[in-house]
Formats: sequence, structure tokens, C-alpha cells
Amino acid sequence: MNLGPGVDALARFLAGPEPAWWASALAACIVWLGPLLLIVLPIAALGQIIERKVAAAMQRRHGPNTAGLDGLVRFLVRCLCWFLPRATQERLTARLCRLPGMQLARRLGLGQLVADGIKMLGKEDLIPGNADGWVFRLAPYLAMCGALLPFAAIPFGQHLVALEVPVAALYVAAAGGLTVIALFMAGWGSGNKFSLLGGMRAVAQVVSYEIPVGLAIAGVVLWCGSMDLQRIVASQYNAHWASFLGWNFFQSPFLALLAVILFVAGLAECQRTPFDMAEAESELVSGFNTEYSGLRWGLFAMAEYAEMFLVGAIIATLFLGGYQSPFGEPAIIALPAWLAALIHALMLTLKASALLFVMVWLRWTLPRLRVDQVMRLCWITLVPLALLALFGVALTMLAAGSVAPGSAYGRIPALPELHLTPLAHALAWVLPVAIAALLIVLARRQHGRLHPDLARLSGAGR
Amino acid sequence: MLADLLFWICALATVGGALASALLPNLVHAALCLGLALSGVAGLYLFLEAYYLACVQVIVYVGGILILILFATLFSSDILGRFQRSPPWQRVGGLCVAAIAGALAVRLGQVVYQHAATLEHQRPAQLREAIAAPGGIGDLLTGPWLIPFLLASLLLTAALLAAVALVQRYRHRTPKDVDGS
Repeated sequence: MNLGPGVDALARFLAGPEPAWWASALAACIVWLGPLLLIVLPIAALGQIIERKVAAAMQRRHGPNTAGLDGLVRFLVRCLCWFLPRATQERLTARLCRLPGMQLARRLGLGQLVADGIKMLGKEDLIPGNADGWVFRLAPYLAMCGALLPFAAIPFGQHLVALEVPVAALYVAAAGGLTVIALFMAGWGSGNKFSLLGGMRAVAQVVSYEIPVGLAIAGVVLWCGSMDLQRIVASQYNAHWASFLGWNFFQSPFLALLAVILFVAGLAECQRTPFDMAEAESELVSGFNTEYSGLRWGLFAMAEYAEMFLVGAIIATLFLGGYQSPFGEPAIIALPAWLAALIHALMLTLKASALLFVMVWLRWTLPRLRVDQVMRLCWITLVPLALLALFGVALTMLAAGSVAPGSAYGRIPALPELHLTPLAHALAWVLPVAIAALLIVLARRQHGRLHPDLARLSGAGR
Repeated sequence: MLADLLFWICALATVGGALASALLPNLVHAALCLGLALSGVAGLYLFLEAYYLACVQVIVYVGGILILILFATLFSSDILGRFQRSPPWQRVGGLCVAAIAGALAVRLGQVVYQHAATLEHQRPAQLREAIAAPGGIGDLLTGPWLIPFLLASLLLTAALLAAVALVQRYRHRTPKDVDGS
């Protein structure tokens, strides 16, 4: 079995040219799990900072701004420099705390994260008497798996990816699907009717919104002719200095529409406001995680932030050029490999964080949807729109001559790279937008004469 | 070997999950163990380097069918399995089916195990890529197997329509509605 070049190399480094199985296992754990924990847990922390600061800014307060890292520094100085006299320790602490970075840490409330972590670890781990033992205990870990596993296939730079599979786009969707089971297990295992109701709502919502997500991913797969996320990112490369012109988002209005659909559906999959019916605190206490406390609750919370970041990273990878810089990408590629990798990883993190910021922004802007509104948005708006956009993507490809009708009958040669000329690019934008505008105008004029069923379906009669 | 260990974990998850889902009285536990068995099968697909099939297995069976089964179990009046036991003829019949299926499964496991052990040396890289990527499967489904593929989608459409028909409220059946209110 092929465990990937990184694992093999590390195993050989650990235990010689013919590594024993334990060396392979250790290498696999380090290569696969190490980046996950080193990258994703800070990401969850980053999500929490963005959430708190944006929430505070939108409500005109400071947010967590008193807890800096001073206490942590004092603790570390005490531990590491115990041999120095107390006065020297204090002076050292004071000098360290006056560093400019520490001021920033205080303003961002970084100490709050450490305090929260310690509080979470120290809390009592309650298990309700009515709970379904192992189902209740297992659920948070499975939720964490569902949030972390997809990161393995997301490229953070050229060849900077933990798991190289040719079907990475599908893998991301499959691994993310584990969350659904975790939600059901949490809801059922709690032995509490509020939790069960919240769990059922969450599961129904996530399963429904997987369809627009799948259609949106299918559109990009169709456009790029590959399910390999690395190839999808590479196909968005543009040698122009304004390299964002090569991004899928700007290729066609249909792809832009798919990106918006993916964002909305991804928001619903994370159960964030306005789609947080599942944890509606005014009626269900807190939904499926009502009965959880301590570290188990913390795992659910971290999984939520990791999942939000994941949605941002997927949208960035599929539509916004992945790890590529919006400007001057050719110059960055020409840099030394380690520097380029660093900039690329930073770029993807920035893009995903920007999308995460929009999610938090939406949370404090939009009211919560009712159950029927959530389902209506999915089945009557998003799914038909996504199908239409998918059809439009196929039509654009047909018009651009990248694929011939009927070529599917028989062995297809590898699709040629789709590069639109500026004129075709402009046409690909102008034509669909003009047709859509025309259709909207016609539909508005026809509005009174719709068939009653259609009118009801489109919500016109309300 | 690590590969051996992973194979045995996957095989154990498949067989153990299947056994547990057949034997556990608690319906929700049984359904969750079915999920374990299905995930184990996905792991075995990974051993065949059929990544596409493994992903589809997880998406369709664990993410879709299993959720349906879980929802369906909640409609049962006896989820915890306290009151009803299967009648003896069901147990005997189930045992016979399980024996046949078990024999097949052991043979399949043997094939997968041997395959995983010899894969890297015997198969040309081109063929391995063809199995791993979805392109070859797409060619087959839209080429020689187009008609069965379309028929399957027709069947699914029929099932969808039947589901819609089942949940329709027959408003015209009551005399009051027929009068046109």
C-alpha cells in the first residue's frame, strides 16, 4: 500500500532503508496528523478571535480586550527562570510585556483564548443519567474528525498538501459528511428531547444543503476537467500581473453564481446564523449540544470554527485561485520555494479568513430563518439555481469550443486547458447577464399571469 | 507491516460492524454499527486504490442511506428493542444468508488483501491512475453502460415521484373540498 512520499521518506529517516511497521505508523501519524493539529487548531482560535472582535465592533463595544498574555509570560518566566532572584524575574516579565507585540495581544484579547482553553479542560465532564453512553461520548470526536479530515486534501501551496488523491474535491465532500452522523449521535445520545429535536433539524438541514454544495463543486470540476484540487488551483493561474483575472470566479457569471451558492450552502452546513435553527436557544436551549460540557463541548465549538474556515478554504480553492496571490503571482512563483510556499499558505489563510469574516458579519446582520424558510431556500431557490448555473457552465464550455457535443461516447482524450480570449471572456460575461436581465424583465411583466401553481412555487402569491 | 495493520482494522470494522448491526437489539446502535461496516468497506476500496469508489461509498452510503435508515428507525415504537424479538424462522433464515454472505466476504477480503500486497509491483502506473481517477468510470457510464445508467436514474426518478405522491394530501376526496371551498 502506498502511503505517500512524505510518510515513506520520514519512515526511512526514522528507521533506516527498510522501515518496520511501527516506524511507518509513527511517520503516518506525524505527517498526517501533525499539520492538522498545527494548522487547524490555531485556525479555530483565529476564527474565535474574528468572531468576538467583529461581534464587539458591530455592537460598539471593545470585546475581549483586558486579557493579554502578560499572565502567561509571568508564568513562563517563573517556570523557566526559577533560578533568578524574584526582582530580576519581575523586571524580565515587565520588559517582555512591554514588547509591541504584547500590546497587540492585549488588544486582541489573546489571553482570553488561553483562559478559555484552561477553563474548558478543567470543567466537570457531565454525562446525563439518561444518555446513551458510547454514542454520547463518541459524537464530539466524530464531529472533530468531520471538520479536520477535509483539510488534508486542501492545497496550501504548490505540493503543500497532506493527502494527494486524484479525487480530492470528492474526498473533501465525503470526509465532511461524517459531521452529519456526529450531529445525529449527539442529538440522540443526549437522551433529551430538545437535543434530539435539535439534532434532527441539524441533520435534515445539512443533508439537504449537501445537494447545492455538490452541484457547485460539480460545476468547477466540469470547468477545470479535474477533481484534483491541486490541478483546479493550477488551472486558475494567469501570467498577467493582475493574476486574479484567471480565477474561476471571474471566468463566467455562472461560476460566480455557483460560488455564491456554495457560500450560502456552506453557511447552512456549518449551522451558522441565519441557518442556526438547529441550536435555536429560544426554543431548544442549545440544540444537539445542550447536554455537553467541558472538553466535549469545546470539541463541538472548535469543530464549528474549523468547519467555517474549511468552507472559506474550499471556496477560495475552487473559485478564488486557491493559494495564489491576486496580484503578481508569476513573481511569487519565481521566488525561492520555501518563501513562495510561505506566501501561498498565508494567501489561502487570508482568503479563508476574509470569507470567515463575512460569515460573522452575516451572523450579526441577518435574523434567523424558520425551518420551512430554510428548506424553501434550499429546494426552491438554491437547487434550481445551481442546476441552471451548471447548465450554463456546460453551455459556455461548448461555446468556447473546449468540448464537442457527443464526445462523451467513446474514449475522451484529456481535455485541453480552457483559455478564453479577451473577447470570448467578455462575451461569456455579457451574454448570460443580458439574457438573465431580459428574463427577469419578462418575468416581471408576466407576473400577474403565472399559473397559480407556479405562482405559489415562486412565492409570488404571498 | 503498517499496511497489514490497516487492512485488519478495516476488515474488523466491516465484519464487526455488520455483525453488531445484525445482533444488537437497540435499533439506533444497530444502524450506527451499519455505518461502521460501510466505512470499513470504503477503507477496503482504498486498499484497491479505488479512491473514487471509496469517496462515493462514504458520500452515498454513510452520508445518505445511513441517515435515511437512522431517520426510519426513529419511527419505530420499539427503538430500544425491549419488547419484540425476531421470530425463530427469521433467525434461521438470517443465519443461512449470513453464512453465504460471510463466505463471499472472506473470499473478497482475500482478494483485497492479496491485491494490496502485490499491487505496487504488478500493476503499471497508467492502469493504477485509471482506477484511481473517475475518468475511466465516467467513460464506461456514458459509453457502453449508458442505457443501464439511464435506467437507474429513471428508477430513482420514479421513486422520487412516488415519495411526492405518498405525502400528497388528497384534498379533493372530502365532499366539502369537492364543492369548491
